[in-house]
Amino acid sequence: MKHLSEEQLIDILMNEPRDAALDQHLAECPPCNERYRLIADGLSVAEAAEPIIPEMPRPMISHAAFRRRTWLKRAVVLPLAAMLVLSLLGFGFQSDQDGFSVQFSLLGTQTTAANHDARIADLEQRLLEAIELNTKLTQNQMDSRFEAVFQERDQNLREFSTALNAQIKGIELQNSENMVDLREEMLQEVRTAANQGR
Amino acid sequence: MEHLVDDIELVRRAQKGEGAAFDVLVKRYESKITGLVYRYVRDTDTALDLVQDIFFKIFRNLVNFKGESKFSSWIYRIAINDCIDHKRRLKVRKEQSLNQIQEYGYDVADERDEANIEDSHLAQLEQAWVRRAVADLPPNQQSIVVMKVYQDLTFDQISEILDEPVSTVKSRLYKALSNLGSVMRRKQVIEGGRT
Repeated sequence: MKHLSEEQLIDILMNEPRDAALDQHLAECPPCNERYRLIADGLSVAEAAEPIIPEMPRPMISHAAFRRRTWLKRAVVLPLAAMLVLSLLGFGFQSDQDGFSVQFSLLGTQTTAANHDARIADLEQRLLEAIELNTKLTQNQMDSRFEAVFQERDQNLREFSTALNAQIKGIELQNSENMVDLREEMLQEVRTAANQGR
Repeated sequence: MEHLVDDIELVRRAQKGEGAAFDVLVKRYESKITGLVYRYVRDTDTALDLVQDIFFKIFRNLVNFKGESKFSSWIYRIAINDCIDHKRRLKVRKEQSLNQIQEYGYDVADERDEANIEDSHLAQLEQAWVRRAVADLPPNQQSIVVMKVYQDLTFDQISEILDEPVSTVKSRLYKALSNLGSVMRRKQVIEGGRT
């Protein structure tokens, strides 16, 4: 037996016009009945979740309000679009303490090309200056690094020579003591030999 | 007398720039659209903002309305699409803010647990889960639940609004209701396990 389709089950659930045989099938078919009970549960969840619409202020909607809104938008967007188009055509806009001014140079004319060349030359000059400055800074940094290394080396040498001198002095002192002891021993041996000879 | 004039006549007059005709159309559909939108978004401020946007879209696009469908269907379609867009934007924003929180090293899992605890408390008090279950439906399923179950529109009307065959609308409603039914079953199992 063919089971009920999703649409047929929805027709039964939502009480839509339908063939009576569908209800008959539903009553006799456990799988279809289980699917029906699932969507019936779903419907009860949806109904339980239906929000109660609170009192709301009336939104400010009218033809006049929307016309104002449209004009306001146009008042902002149109001048901006016009400025963009004009600037693409070669107009320049400037606002300073003297007020608002507009410059114009035709697109593709010699003037515009000359302006471009001048701007490129200016940018190249700035780039060269930046490279030079960077080189100087790098050189200064390297110099100060070397200076620090040399200072550290001198300090280490000083410490090393002081320590070496102290060690040499210690060895010399030890040698002197050893020489004194040796002399004493030799003198003792000489005295002993002299006594034996007598 | 304006209430006796049909939509098409009012639209024709509004298209010619007659502000009063547009205002009558607004008056005719304002509360229906507000109800539809509120049932979808469940927030007064958001609903009012969306209703403003929807009617502004209608105002701007009225000249393009050719009368191929009923004016009511056309207006509902704009409203439903706006609600669906709003829901999608909200979802994206939520995901972005979650990602941001994670980027800053905040423990989202802990926060979610806290939210779940709070929500479950709410659920016990107000049965918030049913609202959440409907709100969690995919936008195209939720819109059918709103239109059919809450607004009591016919399948033919919904079909015209969405520009989809009736069979698709019914099938989508079936999926929405079985999703909600499954949520209910899961909840029953969980509650059965607790007791």
